[in-house]
Amino acid sequence: MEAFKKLNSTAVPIQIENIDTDQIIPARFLKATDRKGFGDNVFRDWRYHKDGTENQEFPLNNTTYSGQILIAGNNFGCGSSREHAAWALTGYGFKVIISSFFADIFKGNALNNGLLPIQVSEAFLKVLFETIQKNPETHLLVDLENQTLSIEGSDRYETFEISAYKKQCMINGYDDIDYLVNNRDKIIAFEKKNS
Amino acid sequence: MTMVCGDSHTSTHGAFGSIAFGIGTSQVAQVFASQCLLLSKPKSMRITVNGTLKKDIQPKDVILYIISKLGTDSGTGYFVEYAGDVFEAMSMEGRMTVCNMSIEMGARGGMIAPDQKTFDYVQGREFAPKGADFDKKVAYWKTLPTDEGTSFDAEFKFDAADIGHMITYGTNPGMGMKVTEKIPSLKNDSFEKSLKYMGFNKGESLINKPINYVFIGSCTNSRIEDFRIAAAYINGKHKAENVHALIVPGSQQVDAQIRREGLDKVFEEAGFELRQAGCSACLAMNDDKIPQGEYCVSTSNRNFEGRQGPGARTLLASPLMAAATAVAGKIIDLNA
Repeated sequence: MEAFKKLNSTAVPIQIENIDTDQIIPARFLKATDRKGFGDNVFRDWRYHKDGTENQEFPLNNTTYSGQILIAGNNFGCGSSREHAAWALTGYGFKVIISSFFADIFKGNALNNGLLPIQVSEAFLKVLFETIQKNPETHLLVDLENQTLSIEGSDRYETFEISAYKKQCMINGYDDIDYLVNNRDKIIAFEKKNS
Repeated sequence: MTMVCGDSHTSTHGAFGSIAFGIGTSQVAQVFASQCLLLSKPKSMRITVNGTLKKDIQPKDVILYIISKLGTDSGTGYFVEYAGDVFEAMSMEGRMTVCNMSIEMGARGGMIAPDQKTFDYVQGREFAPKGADFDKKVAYWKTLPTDEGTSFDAEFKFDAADIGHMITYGTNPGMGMKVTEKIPSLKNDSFEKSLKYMGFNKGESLINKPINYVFIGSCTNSRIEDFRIAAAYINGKHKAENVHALIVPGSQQVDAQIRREGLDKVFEEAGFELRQAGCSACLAMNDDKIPQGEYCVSTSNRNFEGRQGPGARTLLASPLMAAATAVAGKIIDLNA
């Protein structure tokens, strides 16, 4: 997993609530056995019309928007547990997702893949949408160590929550398996005691 | 028992009082590598439904009703216990349907306290403990139900008498209503986008809406009891001319049981197509897809955009509602 400390980037706004993982990556693309390549089909059915042409109205196809940050409506990532949703988003190039609420399984999957879910207040989310839609060149600054998200060139910022453990994992670029394998002796001792 | 699997509907097994939940692929690797899973402790929620269900009201109606009242993100961060008269009286198959859809309100898992019905269901099955081993297990399982006076982080109570035949009209499972009700008139972009996708209007009734596709299957409703209920309704009737009706058992065992009980004949004579066991038209991964723009009354669990095929429009309902829709060729009020 790639280490993550800070990010300074423009952002893409998708102002839709309850975006489920079926929209992020439709089931018909799940048959691949490798984590790579899912980015091509992220939001497939929203990005393309039935005839295969691009839907110019969808923010990912709108060239005024770009960047490694996705801003989305409340309850992002609900539905299916498919980790492919996180792979599709990172595969496309996103490093941070901002929403006012994340579904549980998606949040875990994102953190396990170096994709940082930042939960902000409804009010701040509204400010972010308005700011980016008004000026798509606006940069957002993510500082994981200090747990802050700020809008460059303004004094608007919010702090965000992340578990201390997941924070360390992201900053150092290591994952849960590394952590568990390092605790092998303790796990074995626990199992002996309880069996 | 704790069970995890790379599928959010692993929560189905909560019907047996087990802690069962879906995990991501990296977490599956974690389990294989270490036999452990790193988790933070979830909050607890109890949903109690007391009283007696009205005639013909299905377990699917109960869970669709709960989700329509609480919303799709109400359970996030929680594990749910379903309690009260309705779940105590419910069959194991029905309990599986309810626990299955816990994830549809955002909860990782949902469970129902094991009782005599649970033990009877497990006894004699292929991988169940046998003889004295079984008795020992039962003695332990009897200690599992929640202690009286236990407090939960969140509690919700519903009255069984308020629950009717449910159907969804939108693109998340929380957008459900009694089939006799009208689509609410909310002013909200996501709500309006959802109705636009479905081709429905605010304040509209779904009764008499023509439906060309019906799917009875998926991990929510593909157990033998579901097909018995559907067959009992269909028996002696025929599907409407305009309807493609798919019957898909959840497993090869259920498929075999359908044939043993002669239900396949009932379905065949009524013009229903019995397809290969599996996920099928629930998520459009194989050839069982719903075409662009078509409505499908489906016993599955998700009515997301494109879930049953690009542009397909899903209306979630019970196997009884689905069977009735197939026969009528349109949505009907079963009590009318």
